[in-house]
Amino acid sequence: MVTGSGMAIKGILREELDNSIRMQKRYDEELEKLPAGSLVKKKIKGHEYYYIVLRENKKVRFAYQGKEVSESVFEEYARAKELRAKYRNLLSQVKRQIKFLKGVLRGQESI
Amino acid sequence: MDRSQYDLCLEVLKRLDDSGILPKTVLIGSWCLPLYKNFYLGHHDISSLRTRDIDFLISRRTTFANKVDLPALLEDLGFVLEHSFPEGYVRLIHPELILEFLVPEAGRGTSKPYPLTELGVNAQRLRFLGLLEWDTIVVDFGGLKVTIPHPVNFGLHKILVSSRRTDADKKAKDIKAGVEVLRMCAENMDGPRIVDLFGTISQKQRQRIIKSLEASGAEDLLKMLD
Repeated sequence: MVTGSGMAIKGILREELDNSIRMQKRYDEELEKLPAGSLVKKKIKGHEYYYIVLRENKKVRFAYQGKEVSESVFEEYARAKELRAKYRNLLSQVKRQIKFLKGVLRGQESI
Repeated sequence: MDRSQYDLCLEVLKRLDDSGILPKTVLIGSWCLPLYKNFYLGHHDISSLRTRDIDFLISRRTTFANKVDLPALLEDLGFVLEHSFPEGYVRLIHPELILEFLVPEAGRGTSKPYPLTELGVNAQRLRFLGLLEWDTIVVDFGGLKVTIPHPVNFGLHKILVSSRRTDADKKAKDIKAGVEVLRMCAENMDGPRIVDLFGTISQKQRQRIIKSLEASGAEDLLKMLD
């Protein structure tokens, strides 16, 4: 028989699992929205050129951007880099939570 | 309380305070439970069972002097906006915390969320929240002044909302929290306050509370309210 406390704990865990599953989806969506790649500066024969470095089909591709890029592009890629790292870190935390909560609800892990 | 969760919560509250939002909100929900332990001082048998949700009650009369883009304010902490479907209200989510904004439902009610345009979010409308606004206390949370409902109001509200729950687990959680908080109030000489507040709510609401207390077997509280 499940007591009031037992039901309350199970209820919380189930609610938290639902929350984490939704969270995983939202972080995936936010990562998709960020501009792909990173902005890099290359020095070739004494001249500086800007490229977006992308990974496509396991290959690294450099997309030429020109000799100069605007301040807003710099800021956009700097912000994207920071958020990408943050979201990836949080996403892995959410995945660990999902694994743990599923285990507890199946009775395989202790609370 | 998990340290990283506590630190994140404190950082969020600090930012809300700096933006002038915190003094205009009432912190409600299970995050109040550990704060009530401090309010009454001493040891109390009250569980700290809670989800990651941290709920802010905003009165319908509240106006915000300055516009604050709340999602942008918390973006660098890793919070992202989530739209509930099909209700349409928003939540700011993070693996450690989920921020929600609530306003009391009035009149016949509507399924539409309540717009908080000055904050760049909207709020969920819920019944019976007025009970939590009637009487509030200000407590210290990591050096910040945070407004929370008086524990008597919190306890009766929990019992009242449990009667409307269809989910058995959530019902059990609400009753457990409500009964524990009301018992703590009674132990700390606030029994007459429970009786007074119970006397001011509608007959229908009183019946709902009695029914829930009967179902939970809280004879001591039933005797007090008789």
